[in-house]
Amino acid sequence: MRTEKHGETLLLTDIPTLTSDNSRVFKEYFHSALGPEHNIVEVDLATARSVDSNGLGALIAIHKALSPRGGRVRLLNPPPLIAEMFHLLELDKIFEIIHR
Amino acid sequence: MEPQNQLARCFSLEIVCELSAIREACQRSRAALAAAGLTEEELGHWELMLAEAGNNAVRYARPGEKTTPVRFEISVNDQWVEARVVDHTPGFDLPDEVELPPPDSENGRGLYLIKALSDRASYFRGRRENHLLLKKRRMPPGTNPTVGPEIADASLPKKFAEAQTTLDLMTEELASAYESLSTIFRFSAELAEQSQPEEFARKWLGEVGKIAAADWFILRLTEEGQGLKLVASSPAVGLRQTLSLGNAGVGEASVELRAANFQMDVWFDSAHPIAELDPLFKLAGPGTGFSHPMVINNRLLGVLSMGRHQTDESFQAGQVSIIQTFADFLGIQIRNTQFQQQQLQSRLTARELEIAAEIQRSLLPKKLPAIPGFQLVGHYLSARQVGGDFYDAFVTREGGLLLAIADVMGKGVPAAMFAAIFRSQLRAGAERAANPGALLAWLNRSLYADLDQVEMFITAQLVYFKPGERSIQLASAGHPPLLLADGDGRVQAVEDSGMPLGIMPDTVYTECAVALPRGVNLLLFTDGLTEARDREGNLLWVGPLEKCLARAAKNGQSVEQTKAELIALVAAHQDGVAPGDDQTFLLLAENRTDQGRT
Repeated sequence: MRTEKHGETLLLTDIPTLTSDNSRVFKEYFHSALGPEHNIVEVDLATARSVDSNGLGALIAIHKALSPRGGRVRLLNPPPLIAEMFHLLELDKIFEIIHR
Repeated sequence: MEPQNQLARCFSLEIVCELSAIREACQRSRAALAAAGLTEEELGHWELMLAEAGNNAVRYARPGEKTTPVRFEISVNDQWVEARVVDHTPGFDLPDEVELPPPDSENGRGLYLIKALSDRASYFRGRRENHLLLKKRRMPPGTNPTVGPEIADASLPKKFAEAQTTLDLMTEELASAYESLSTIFRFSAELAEQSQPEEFARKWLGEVGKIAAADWFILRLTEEGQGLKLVASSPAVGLRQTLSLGNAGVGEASVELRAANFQMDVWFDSAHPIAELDPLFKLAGPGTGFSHPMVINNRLLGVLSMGRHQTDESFQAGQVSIIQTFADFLGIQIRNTQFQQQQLQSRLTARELEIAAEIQRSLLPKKLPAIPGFQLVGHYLSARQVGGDFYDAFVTREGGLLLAIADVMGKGVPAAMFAAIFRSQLRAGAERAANPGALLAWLNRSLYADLDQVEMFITAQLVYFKPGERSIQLASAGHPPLLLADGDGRVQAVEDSGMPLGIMPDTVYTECAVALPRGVNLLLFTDGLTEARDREGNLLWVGPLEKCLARAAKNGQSVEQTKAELIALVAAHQDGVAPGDDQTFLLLAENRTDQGRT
């Protein structure tokens, strides 16, 4: 997992899985990288082989951390099955899902 | 974590009870299913379902079962995939439909995913372990979709063993249900002989505790405006303090109050221990157990808590079921009893009021005395079933007529009782009628002690009239003035009032003599008439009564007609609003035909 910072955008990328065993680490990693200038967080899921409900919980925690300051979370390039899960759980209503 | 039985289409594996082991278990399962020819989409779905099932098995494992492995068993044929995840949690009820949590909730989506992605999901609770069974038809659909999964010959012995395990679990759950039902039947039989649910609860909680192998219990029931009051506990310890439902400070610490306020079971164990500040700690200590709110029709009736002192032995699902069933059953009985008592009380009160109303009606003169040259009529309307107004008219031994009207402060049975006492005293003191002031003073002395004791008072007005003499003697005890209209339509309010009866023991009441003009109309009334309210709350006041009386006197109307007009006048003002006070009047009118006028 690594981060890239572009102005007000914080990009989290190279995420192999987002599941119960690493969701807490993921949240801590995000909080350590988040700066006051970051109003947009992009999570690139292109490499994610697996995301479970705990991983979703971590993404929702990021969304809740940004919402009070008007920020938002974009999910980039989720594989089809993961995109289907977001749709199934109606989370595509709170996350912006972008395929680049 | 090697697969233990890697038959071609059936395999199982066990993992340590840790979240970090779930990932690898899912990958192993995925590899095995991939080898069986599942598509990428199917593999993704199964990987997710198994991950969610495994997460729950690890996250909610009982404290004493953290070292017991979680088992995955998967079988696959050409049409179906079936997975069994064996956990050692306290178990739960898998609902037919799982709702999504609010969008910003970080938890609560695992079961939804399992239900959404599987074709069938069942959960069986056992005494030692629980089984989650998941089935999903393979893609593309099989050739015979109405038939269940065909098991490969090689896996038949294992499938039989699995079916046997499932059967055992179902039997155990049924036995638990039977035990609950049987207990309820025994409770029901007992309840028929117990009048109070509290007594019933005290007797049977010990029995429930034994069935559930609990070390202690405590039952608190809600008391109106008080909070949760102790009804029974075992062992009996100093937990008499009533828990206030509005006490936020204690509420945070108290397991019982949390269960009451959130109306959901609150569990405690070594991972979520009872706070030492919690009153329950004195009984439970660092043990395991739960508090169950008894809620019927959204109304909290109490909280039942049961537990064990050992921290590593939480209740089994069947035991939890029995405790919850008993508590809910008890709650229904309490509610029914309360309802029956309310009904009974309501019927008794209604009957008491009927009797009191009958007594009060009997106090009013059935027939008013006939006075040559005059007409007399009375009217009484109670604001409630029983009121405190009263009127009387009788001819004294000397041939005079005494008119009396009174208003006891308040309404209902107490007011009616004093109206009855007033009437009997009035009749008893009739020899003083020619001096109504003296009669009022005597009535005041007679009634003062009783009225003072209950802090009530009576306003009253007495009029003594000797037909041969064209004057009246008037005395009043805090009562509204008398209205007097003459044949020319002039009206005056005659007032000579002292204190109401029951205020001071030795009150002296003056009396005044009032000459009666020709065609006189006299109206004695209670303030229920002048204080009748319309829809906006405006009072009628005395003006409309005066006008009505003046018109009646001028026209020489019959008292019956004037009575009807007065009643209609008040009713029109109220415009359908129920009277807030009794409405009573006595009307005496000179018979104009005797004077040659029409």
